[in-house]
Amino acid sequence: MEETYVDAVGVDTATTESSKNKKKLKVMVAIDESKDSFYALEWALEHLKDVMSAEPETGQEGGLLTLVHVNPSGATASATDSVPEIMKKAGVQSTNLFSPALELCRAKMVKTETMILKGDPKEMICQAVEQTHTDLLVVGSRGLGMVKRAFLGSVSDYCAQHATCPIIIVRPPRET
Amino acid sequence: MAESGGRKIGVAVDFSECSKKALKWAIDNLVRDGDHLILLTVAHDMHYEEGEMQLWEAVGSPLLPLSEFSEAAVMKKYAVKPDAETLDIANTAARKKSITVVMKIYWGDPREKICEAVEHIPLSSLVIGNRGLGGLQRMIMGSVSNHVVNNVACPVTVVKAHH
Repeated sequence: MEETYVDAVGVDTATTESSKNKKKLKVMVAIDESKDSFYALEWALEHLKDVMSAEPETGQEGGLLTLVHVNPSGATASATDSVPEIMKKAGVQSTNLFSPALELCRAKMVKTETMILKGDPKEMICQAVEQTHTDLLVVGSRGLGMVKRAFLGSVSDYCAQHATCPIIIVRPPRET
Repeated sequence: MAESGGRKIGVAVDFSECSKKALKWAIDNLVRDGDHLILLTVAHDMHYEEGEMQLWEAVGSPLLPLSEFSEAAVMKKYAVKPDAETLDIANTAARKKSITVVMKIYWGDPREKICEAVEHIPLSSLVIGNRGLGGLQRMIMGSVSNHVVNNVACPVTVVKAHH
C-alpha cells in the first residue's frame, strides 16, 4: 500500500520568462535519517549547481528538486496504532526529517518539493522516478544499514540497477 | 567540501553508444568552466617490448591533451582508436566551455583500472555508462559499472543505456 503526500515548498525564483539557456533538471534525492543522505544532497547541490539552481541575475528559473522519503511499511508504528495515528507519526517524523534539507535547498535557491512514500524503499524510489519523469536520482551509499562490510547499501545498489534515469551514488568522504 | 578551483571529472570511455551517452551527460550537466575532463579508456592487455610502453602498461599513459588524442597518428602508438563521434563530443565541449580535456589510457582489467584511476589521478567524481562493449546484454547492469560503483570512494554517476 502506498500513500503519497506532495508538499510543494516553492522558492520564488524568476520573475521573468526563463531564457532557456541551459536545461535545468528534475532531480530526486532520497532522504532518510542518515548523515549519508544529507551529505548526498549537499554534494548534489554544490556540484550540480548549474543545472539545479535558479539564476536571479539572468532571470532564469532553476530546476525542480524532489526530496523523497520512504517509510518502510510498519517501521514507525506499533500494532495497536490506528491508521490515522500511523499516518500522523509518519508525518511528524518526516517533517522533522526534511527541515534541514529544505533549509539547505532554500539557501541554494533550488525549488524543492517533498514526497513521503510508504513501502519498500528501493522499489518505491524507482517507481517514483519513473512516474515523475525524473532526470536524475541522487542517493547516499549506505543509509541506516549497519552492515559495514557491504560497500553499498541494498537501496542504493537496487536503484543503481533499476532506476530508469541516471543515478548518482554519493559516498561520504573517508573517515580516518 | 567545495573544491577550490577546477574539479577532475573522469568519464569511463570505451567508444560504445552508452559511453558516448555518459560523456555527453557529463558535459551537459556536471562539467563546468575550470574543470578537467578526463576520458579514461582501458585497452586490452598488450605485452610491449619497448621500455616506454612497459611503463605505461603499469601506470597508464600520460594525460594526453585533446589535440594529441584526436590525432590518429599519435593514437596508433598506443593502439587505441577513439571513434569519430567521441572525438567530436570532446572537441565541441572544449570549444564551448573553458575546460581542459585529456585522455588517459590504461591496460588491463577495466574494473581494476578505473578504480585505480579514481585513486591515483585522483578524481572528484566519475561518470560511467551501465553497458559498454562487453557482451551479456541480458545483464541489467554491466559488470564494470557494477564493480566500480561498489569499490570507489568518489561519487559515481551511472548513465543508463536505455532511458
